[in-house]
Parts: sequence; C-alpha cells; structure tokens
Amino acid sequence: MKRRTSTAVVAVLALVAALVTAVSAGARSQGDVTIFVAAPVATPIENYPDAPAGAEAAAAAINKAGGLNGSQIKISFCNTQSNPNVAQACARQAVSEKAIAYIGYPGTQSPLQIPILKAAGIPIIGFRSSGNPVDWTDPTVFTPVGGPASAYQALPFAFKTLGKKRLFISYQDVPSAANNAKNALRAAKIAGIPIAGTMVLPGATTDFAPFVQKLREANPDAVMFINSPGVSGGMMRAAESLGVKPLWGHNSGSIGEPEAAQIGDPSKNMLIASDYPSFRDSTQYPGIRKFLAEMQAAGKDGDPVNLKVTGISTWLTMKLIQQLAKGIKGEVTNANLMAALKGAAKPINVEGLVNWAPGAKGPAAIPRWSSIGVYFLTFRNGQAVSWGKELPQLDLVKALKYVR
Amino acid sequence: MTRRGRLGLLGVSLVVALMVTVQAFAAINPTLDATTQASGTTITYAQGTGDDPPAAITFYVAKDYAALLSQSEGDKIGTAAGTAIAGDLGGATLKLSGDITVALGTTTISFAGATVPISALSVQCTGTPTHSAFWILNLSASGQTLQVPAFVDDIPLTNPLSSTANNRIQICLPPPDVPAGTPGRASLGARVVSATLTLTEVFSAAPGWYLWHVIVTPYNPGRGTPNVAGTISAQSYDRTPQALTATAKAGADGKATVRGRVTAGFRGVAGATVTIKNGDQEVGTAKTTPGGRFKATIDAAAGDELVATAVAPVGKAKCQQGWFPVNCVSAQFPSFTVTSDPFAVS
Repeated sequence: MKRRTSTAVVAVLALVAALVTAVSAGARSQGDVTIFVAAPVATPIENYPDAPAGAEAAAAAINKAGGLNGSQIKISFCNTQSNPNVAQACARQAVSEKAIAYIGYPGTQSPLQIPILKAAGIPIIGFRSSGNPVDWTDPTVFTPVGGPASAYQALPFAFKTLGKKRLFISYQDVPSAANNAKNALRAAKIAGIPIAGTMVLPGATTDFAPFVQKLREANPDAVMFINSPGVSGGMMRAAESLGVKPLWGHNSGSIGEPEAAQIGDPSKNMLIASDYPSFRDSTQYPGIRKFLAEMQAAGKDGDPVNLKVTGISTWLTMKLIQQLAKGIKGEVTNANLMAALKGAAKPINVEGLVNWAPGAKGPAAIPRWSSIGVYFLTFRNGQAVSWGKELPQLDLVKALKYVR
Repeated sequence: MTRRGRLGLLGVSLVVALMVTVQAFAAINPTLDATTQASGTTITYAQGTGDDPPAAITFYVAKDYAALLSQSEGDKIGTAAGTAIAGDLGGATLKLSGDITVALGTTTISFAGATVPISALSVQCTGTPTHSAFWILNLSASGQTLQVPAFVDDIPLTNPLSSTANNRIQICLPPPDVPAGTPGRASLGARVVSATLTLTEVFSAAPGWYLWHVIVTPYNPGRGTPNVAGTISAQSYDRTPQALTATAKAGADGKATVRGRVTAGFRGVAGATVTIKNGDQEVGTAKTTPGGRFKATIDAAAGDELVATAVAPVGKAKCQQGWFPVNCVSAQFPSFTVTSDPFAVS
C-alpha cells in the first residue's frame, strides 16, 4: 500500500511538473518577442557595451509594465567584433531568431548587414550611422539621429551661432573622412560661416609642427576635426602649446569624457556635437532622468561606459518601439512593426528627446533622414555637459534648407 | 578600327584633350540648362539640328550639391526625354522618353545593336569599369526602346576638380552617320539633338546660385571617330529656389492693382511674363522689371482669389573661366515657370 501510494505521488508530481514545464514553454514560444541588438564590443577600434545595456534596461522596464502588447521582450545581443564576417553572421542570427527589430550600432559594416535584414523584412531602427550612405538610403532604416555623419554637418551651424567667422576643417586620410569633410564644407556654406582652410591630417601623424604651422597661417577662430581621437588630441595639444587656441569641435562618438581626460586642458570648453544629451544632464532633460533611473533599476549604471550615447540611443529606440506597438493590434511582428514605422507620418515625441516621424521622407540626397536631431555638449570639470541655452538642439535637415 | 577601339581611344583622348588648351574648330553649339526645384533637378542639353553628332557628353554637377548614388539596382530615380533626328527615316524627328533607372556594372543592356554588360561599355566610354553609380536612360519612341548608359561619379574632396563640381555624369553615344551596317552604328541612324534628365531621387541643393558645366566631344561627320580637338563646353547658372510673390489691392472703380516679384536664388528676374488668373479666367499680364518686380491693373473685386504664373526667359550669361581647359561656347540662365500661392484681393 505504502509503495503504491508513493508511486502515485511521484506520478502526480511528475505530471504536475510536466504540465508546468509545458505551460511555461508554451508561454515563451507564443509570447516572447525578440529585439536584436548588434554592436562591436571590446575590439581594438570600437567598444559599445552601452548598446546592449541601454536596450536591456528599457526591456526590463517595459516587461515589468506588461511587455509589448502583452509579450515579454527578449533582448538578443551579438558582438559584431568590428569584423565584416561576424557582422554578417549577426544579421543572419537576427533573421534566424525571427527578431522584430534590429537596433544598436552596426557601425562601418552596415552595408553588409542591411541587405540581409532587408531581405527578411526586419526594420533597422534608431541606428547611429558611421557614415555609409546606405544608412540614410535604405527604406528599411528608420532613425532620428545621424551619428558622426550628422555631427560633422551640424558643427558649422553651431560655430556660426557662436559668432565664429573663420572655420578650419581638418580631416583624416581616409575616403569616409574626406566625404564627411565635403559634407561639412557644404553645411558651412549653407550656415554662412567662411572657410579659413582645410587640411588632411594623416592618422599616423606624430610630428604635428607642420600642421600647426598651417593652422597658424590660416588663423581660424574655430577648428573641427574629422579625425581619430588620438591625432585630434595630439593636434590640439601641439597647437595650444604654440599659442594657437581656436574653439575646437568634434563629435561625441570620438571624444567622450575618457578621451577629453587624455587630451587634457585643450578639451576644456571644446564644442561637441552629439546625437543625444549627456547622461550628466538629467536635470535639464527628464528623458535622461528616466534613462538613468531605468539603468539603475536594471543594475546597468555601475559602469559609466554604459551611460554613453549609444546606450541612450538603444534605450530610446526601445521606447519608440513601445509607443509604436500601441498602434498595433495583437502580437508585434517584424512585418507589422515595419508597417507601423512606414505609416508613422506624424512626429512621435519619444521621452522628450526626439520628435520624429519615422515614416516621413527626407530630401532626395538623404531620403531616410526626415528629421535629424543634434545636441551640443562641452566638457566642464572633466564632465560632458550641455553647452547651454545658446546652442539648443538642432534639426539638421531643417537647417540644411534643401530645396529638394 | 573597330567601334569598341574607337570609343576606347575616345576615353584616352578626352583625357589628353583636357590636359591641353586647344582652340578647336567647334562644329557643335551646345547649350546647358540645369536647375533644382522642389520637384527635382532638371538638366537639359541641346545642340543645333545641323550640328555634328555628339560622341561624348559629360555633365559636371555643381559644387555644393548633395548627391545620393547608393540606390539599388532597378530603382527609378527620374525620367529622361530627348529629341533625335533619324537619318534612316529621312531625317524624321523622334521624340524619346522614359525612365532613368539604377543599374550595376554587371547589368546587361542592348546598346548599338549588341547586348553588353554596362561595365564593358563603361571601359569603352570612360576608360574604367568602376563608377560610383550606373544609370540607364530607357528612351522609347515608336515602340522601340533605346537604352543609354550613364556613368556617374562622386568627385572627392582630394580631387582638385571638387572645387568646381560635386559629381560627373558621363554619356557616350554611338555614331549615327556611318554607313548602314557598320558595327556599333546608332539605331535608325539617330542623332541626338537634345536630352533632358529630370532626377527626382538623387540631388539636393540649398537655396543659392550654382554653376553647372557640360563638356561635349562631337564625332567627325561621317567617319564615326571622335573629334577630340573639337571638344567644347557650355555652362548653366542654376538659381534656386524660384519664387513668385504677389499681393492685390482693390480700387474704387472695380479694378485692382496687383504687385509682385519674381525671383530666382533670391534675386529678381527681369523680362519674365506674368499671367494673372481669377479662377479659370486670365485677367491680366505684366512683364518684370530688371529687379524682378511687376505691376498690373486688373478687373477684380475685394475678396477675389487670384493666382499668378510667371515664365522667365532664358538669360544669356558670361562663361566663367575655370578648371576646364576647353573652349566655353555658351552660358545661360535657364528658363523656368513658377506659380504663386493663391492670394486674395484686399
């Protein structure tokens, strides 16, 4: 009898366990949606651990509030390793995992990833461009920010607003930098700031003296770098030591607090163009305050690198997806999310940090840039903070005033 | 020499021609009109009907334009229209029109009677198989389609030419006046005398004045060989945006006075003909002054809603000496048509 009873108990327990397993497995397979984050982390040239951190913090908050139309969000992360083959593998992984969206920082390998995602109908959202034209061309890309490509075009407008009259543009000896310089020259003309000169500053420069001499001869009151942080900092230090002290300008992807610390004094009060405000500016921007709170709640705020601009970008992209999901009936899929993005012709305010219509079309030369926001920062006491009221957020597309 | 060889030679010869200043006999008198409006960028090339046939036409897109050259194969980026005189049809004028689409170097097209990859035509025309973009002008007339490739490049900042132009669009045409049956001869012996490219998905430009260039090499008549020494250029001032603003004030006698201004690139345009309509009815016309202003007295009452349309004439301009070491034979301000927003008589 005892043996029969115990056998029955074991059988019942096993049945209950099996049912529980089946139910939970069923809930996962029917209810979860995957949002895929891709970014290079800890490579010799790139490091964006903030990309998954921001997305995971937002997912935790959204899931706690009931998820995306009732589905729990699963963040799947792939480190592109700054490697073309790995980047392509990341895109293929997103397809195999049936991701509803691809976010993060695809970086210089975007031309390899976008076609794979496009073929699978997966929208690429909120993506900070590293300068490949496909980033502002492909109809499956939806972004309110332009990364360094837009920062370099925004800087001339800021210098003009600050009353500068002689802009000098330094650029690296690579085609993408030359292309960015060309765009910056065009923006300078539109902004109405005269060009004092341009120069190619090679990435391998160690002797800055001849370049400083060229700068001295041009006598600019503003200088923007389309160069790596290393040569930019070297040039700034060499120039200031010889008494050449214009207002320096760069983009936030290249010069953040660690780089500013390495550059030292010349970085103080320099002008930085950024896709988003600094995480230091939580008082000024409620959206940043909320970002910090959710990063803290998710335990992601311990390392300041997680609070950088790509972290804000992925966090905000998740919030955009959450807003769009409200207009979608039933489970969110890549197809209905793509349709919602294309159909969003009116601006959507996302946490007060972007006001953007994902479905709107931009000018002919930049069709996926309907509205591109750029913030201006500087370094004070070693911290990246808002420049202040003199330089509010710029809508670059509006500033460019393109007729077509 | 084969046609392919001749065109290959053309590519090399054009470079040579650009390296030296040649005061060549020009048996061709081209004009260029280029401008950008909200509807797109329009580039019009034209030459006299009796001029030598063009072998190569290269458009230099104005400096400070922004261009998108990364569209996908098959994407439509605009339309093309043109006029050709068909020698095989007794000199009949052919009106050609169709779409401009994006291609790859591997895309094959039918050109001068053969099916060839665009990259091969590119080598013949420009000396290189690689370009920033390849376009196909699909020109149709009388049930026939003529596919003309265009080879498009960005001009990088490191190239001194970037101080003059943002992009280069190169087109080579087959010879129309060699004996029928000659390999590579133009279909129907068609000689192009005008071509208009309207590009809607490529160029952006901020308000301002820009200078476009075209460089043309004609064929030696009847020989099918390029007359490199006859290479010449033409220029077009591109003034954008074009605008017509107007106001109307009612008088005591059932008349109203309309005042306004026609501008291009924020400067007044002289000699434009302004037509004023009240509903469907034309109620007055005027000519603009050198400052672009006009005034007309019309029959209209307070509250009437009017619309004005201006047609600006082609304006002659002076050729600017610049980077191109070839003779410039014409420069002009393009004609344009602009319509005001509706305005009420107050």
